[in-house]
Amino acid sequence: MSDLQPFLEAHCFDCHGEDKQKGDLRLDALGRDLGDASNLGAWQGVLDQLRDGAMPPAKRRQPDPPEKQRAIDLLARHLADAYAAADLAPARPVIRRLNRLELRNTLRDLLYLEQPVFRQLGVPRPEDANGNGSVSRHSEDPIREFPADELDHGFDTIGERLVMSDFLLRQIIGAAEECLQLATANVTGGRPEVGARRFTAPIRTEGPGGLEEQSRQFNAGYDVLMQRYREPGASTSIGRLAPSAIARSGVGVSGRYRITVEASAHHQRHPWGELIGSRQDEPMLLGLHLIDSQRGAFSEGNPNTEMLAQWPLPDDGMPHEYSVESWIDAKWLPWLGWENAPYDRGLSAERLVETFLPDRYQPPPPKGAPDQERRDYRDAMARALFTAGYAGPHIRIHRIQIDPLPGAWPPRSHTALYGGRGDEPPADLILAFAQRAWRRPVDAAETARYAALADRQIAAGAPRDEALRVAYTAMLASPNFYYLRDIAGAGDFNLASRLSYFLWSSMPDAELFDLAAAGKLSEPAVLRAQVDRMLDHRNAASFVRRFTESWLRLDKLGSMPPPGGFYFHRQMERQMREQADAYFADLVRRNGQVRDVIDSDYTFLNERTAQWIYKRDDVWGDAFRKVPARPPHGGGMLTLPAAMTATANGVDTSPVIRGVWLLESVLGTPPKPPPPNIEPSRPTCAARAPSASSSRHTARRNPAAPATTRSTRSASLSNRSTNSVLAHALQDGGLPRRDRHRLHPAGRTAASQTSPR
Amino acid sequence: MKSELNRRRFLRGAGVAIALPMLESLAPAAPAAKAPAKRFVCLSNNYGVYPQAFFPADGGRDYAMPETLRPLEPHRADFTVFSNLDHGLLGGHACVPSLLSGVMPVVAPSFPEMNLSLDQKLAAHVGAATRFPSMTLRVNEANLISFTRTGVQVPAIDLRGMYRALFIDDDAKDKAAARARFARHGSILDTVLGEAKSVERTLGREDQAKFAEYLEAVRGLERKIALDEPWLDRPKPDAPVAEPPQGKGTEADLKAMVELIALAIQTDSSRVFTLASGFANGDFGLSGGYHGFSHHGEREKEVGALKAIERYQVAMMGYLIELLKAQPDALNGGGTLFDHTVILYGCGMATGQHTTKNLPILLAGGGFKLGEHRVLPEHKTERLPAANLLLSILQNFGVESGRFGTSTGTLAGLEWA
Repeated sequence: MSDLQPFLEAHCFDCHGEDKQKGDLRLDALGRDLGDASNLGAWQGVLDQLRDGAMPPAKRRQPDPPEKQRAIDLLARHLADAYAAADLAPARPVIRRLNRLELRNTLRDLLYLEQPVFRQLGVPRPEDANGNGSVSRHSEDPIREFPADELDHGFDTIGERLVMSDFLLRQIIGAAEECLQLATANVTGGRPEVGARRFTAPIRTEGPGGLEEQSRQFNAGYDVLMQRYREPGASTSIGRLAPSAIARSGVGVSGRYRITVEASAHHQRHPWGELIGSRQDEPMLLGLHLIDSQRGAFSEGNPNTEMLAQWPLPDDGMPHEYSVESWIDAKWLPWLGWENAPYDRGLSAERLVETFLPDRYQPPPPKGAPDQERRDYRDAMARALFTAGYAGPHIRIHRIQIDPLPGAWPPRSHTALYGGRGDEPPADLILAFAQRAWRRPVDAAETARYAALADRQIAAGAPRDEALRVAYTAMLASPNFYYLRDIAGAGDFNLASRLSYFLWSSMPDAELFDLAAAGKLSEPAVLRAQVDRMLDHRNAASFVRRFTESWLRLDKLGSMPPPGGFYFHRQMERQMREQADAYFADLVRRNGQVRDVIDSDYTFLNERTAQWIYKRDDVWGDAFRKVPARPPHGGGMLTLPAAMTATANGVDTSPVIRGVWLLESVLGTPPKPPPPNIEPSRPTCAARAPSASSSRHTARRNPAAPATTRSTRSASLSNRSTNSVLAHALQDGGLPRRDRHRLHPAGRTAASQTSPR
Repeated sequence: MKSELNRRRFLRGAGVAIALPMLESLAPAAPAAKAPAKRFVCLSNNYGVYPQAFFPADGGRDYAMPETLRPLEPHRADFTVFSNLDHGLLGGHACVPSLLSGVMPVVAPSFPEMNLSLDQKLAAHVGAATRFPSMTLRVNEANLISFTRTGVQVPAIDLRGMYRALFIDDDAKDKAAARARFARHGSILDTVLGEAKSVERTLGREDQAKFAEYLEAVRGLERKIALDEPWLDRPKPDAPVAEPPQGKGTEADLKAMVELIALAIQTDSSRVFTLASGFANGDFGLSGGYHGFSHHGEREKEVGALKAIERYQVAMMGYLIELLKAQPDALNGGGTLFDHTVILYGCGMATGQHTTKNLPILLAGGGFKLGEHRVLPEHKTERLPAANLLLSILQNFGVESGRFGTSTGTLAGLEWA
């Protein structure tokens, strides 16, 4: 470090030396030992400032460029050496408990549970189905009563911060008991019989109103989809086709099914474009979804629905068969929708007949005519329309068939706990369970106390299965299950757990266990192949969600929502999260360029986000897909509505908050804490979130803090005076030209690419 | 993050310097007298009130009793009606669930305790002292106001459920199941404690410090089970009244429910109650629906119906006051039950027009300084959040807390000087 001394003396000590310590920094006294983490951090700051050109300040004498470059090179080399030395010290993972999401995922994979509630990515949030403020009353989520895990800079995996309490232990025991119950099949009655079910016209017998209902009596042997199903808040069930016969009950028995649909597309190209604005040049997309019947099989506001498959239909008017296999919960059922259908709420039989079949048109009865007369008129017009041959685009559904797939009985979730025959000794079952629950090889001595627990239960008169459940519950509340730690002598099993909790937020699967047992997992080629496999696995969705939440702090989304409007009605928050997931997952899958995080010529949209946020009408359907970004809204992750909303205060955007976010989360250069005499800024939304605002500061008016805010302001996106967050999301969509250079590889981010940080 | 650390370091430093004298001067000379056992009852509806008949025209102690509050005339000195108190929210019906938290369910995740409602906060304080930490009740209406600290709505019980909970012994099967559960959890804890101790031995010193939390959690849960379990064997009080028939209309059901609340307090079965009451077609000789009446459009019939419903709710608050005033407070060794019971009447939506400004709120009992029409600052820059009143109640209850939900402090003027 002594080779830097002349430069420092010439250019730095005047302000950061014995006489003055601007910014509380005194370089002549700053430790030169880079093995010390705080010294290292401070010198990294010096390097950043030099590279940025922020120091020496413009009003001071500037060093010659070569002289400055030499200082930068010297300092960068010292730092690189120090980082390399620090990396040699082996990192020791600290003991930590599972957080609540990891617990739920682990219970799912350990007990082979398939219930939809285990496929959620986030924590249970009170979900407002229709924007009227009434939230769902109860939840079947095993972690519904778990308090939020403590965060450390957005991360919920820091052992030091994850506290344990008796309240939590009681919750864990409760969750374990519940999940064991879910995994237990009722074997006394034998395999539940569920036959193949075949639904033909009329598949839907009530509603939904509009042309679809009016046409029903004229459809020979098929149901039709004519319009786009609507998003939450629109209160119409047009465009949703589910078998009415099971709409209230669901499929009845949980298990794997094959769903087969026979459908035909008609009039993809049609002469009625004047009134029906469908996309004539792209095939019709038929979407198959699953939905929870208990919250309304036809309800557009039902949040418990997920898309299973999407099929493009050939434009030949011929029936084709499509099928997909999936686990369906007892109370769920499939429904169909035309994903890229047109929608026009004013479309009616009368208008179609008037425009395209003028011979058959009659004028409507006068205003104030009796209801019956008006109904008769509408019926007459529908008859005219559908008997003359409907030339508009539509999908015909000829058949929906739901066939149970032959699976093992009792199911795997059951046999894993109680054995296939039902007379295996409890001690053996407990030992086998421990190998997976504790994620490593376990010998019988370690599980002896659990076998003894089961034996005592049996001695006290408990049935075998119940006694086993008590032992399993204890094992799931035990530190060996609930704490992640490196076990001496467990070899690759430690690595398997670290991998799986990093990429899946869950336990390792059979393949990882096998490789660990064979001692092969740590071989570089095997490891690389496993990471690729794990990223392609559906469990990796947890990684995608949690990485964006922790890194970009999208977990703050929803903490300061706009006061009302479509944000709630259309469940935009959920859409925003999924959009961020889609963008990031694609980046991971393609191993895309880091610069795509900042800017790209594409983005991911579905119809709802396109329509409500981006004001685009060229994206159809519920599934997110890659589309060209259209200036000025831009690509990249920084301008995603999720990021925009999470970094705004609910009413308008704040350059300070967004600037702090850019510095902290994106550039990795957190601003200094506010000086002590600065009032924290108050979010100005209906929902005040004191916890989230404590670290913000508006120092603009206070002369005591210009040095800190300057960098905040210059890094933040431009602020314009509009009063809606989402309008800002649009306006800020492209970075202002003058900010762009800061994000260019030649600019500030270069430090993180070239320095070994 | 850094500032927090610095602050903590400062506090630690300061603590070293002044710890001894402070501790000495603060040490109580003798063990403090046992804090009085407080109770909390919230009576609510889901549609607000007809404000012209609810809020007095004048402020102060000598206001003319408005039409809806007339049944409370005998207790004039014992309750206060507030003007200009609300949670500062917008959202009509969606604000009803925010009455006892000040937080709408949809934005709950941004608050450290989510939309935890006051009653559940108090219930946690009561703990195992009573058979039921809290009771969430309903009469011909959904009770939307009780939420746990994770934002889950507490399910409500009706008149029949309330009577059974208070006086009818759980059937032997349920009891046996509960006993078995306690025993099971006891042996589970024994077993994991055994394992935990052997795990502890394999840990490094730092990890051991972290792991101490787990050991403490096991022991803490054992202690809690030891407190909860005896309730199984404690007999429920003998029923002093026959089971009231349910479904005889809101008039009869609400009155019976209020009597049960008074009995529950008297028998110390619970100390925390929330009740939402509504309207069934035919009550008070009226036909229609509560929601319909609340959208009255100033039509005489609907306004009349609304006023009748609200007057009855207020009368039942008066009836509860009467019942509690008539009973000595044995638990607290003197005074009446009313002296140690806070009664709050209110709704998180002000009127049927979906306004959420100026909530109808009445406060009685609890030893507060009451007896007036308290007109709070009206201007938007000076308005006080209703959560301040909730914090006052929380502290009155004996919970040491400086904030509740969106509170900015307690509501001044409620304490006797």
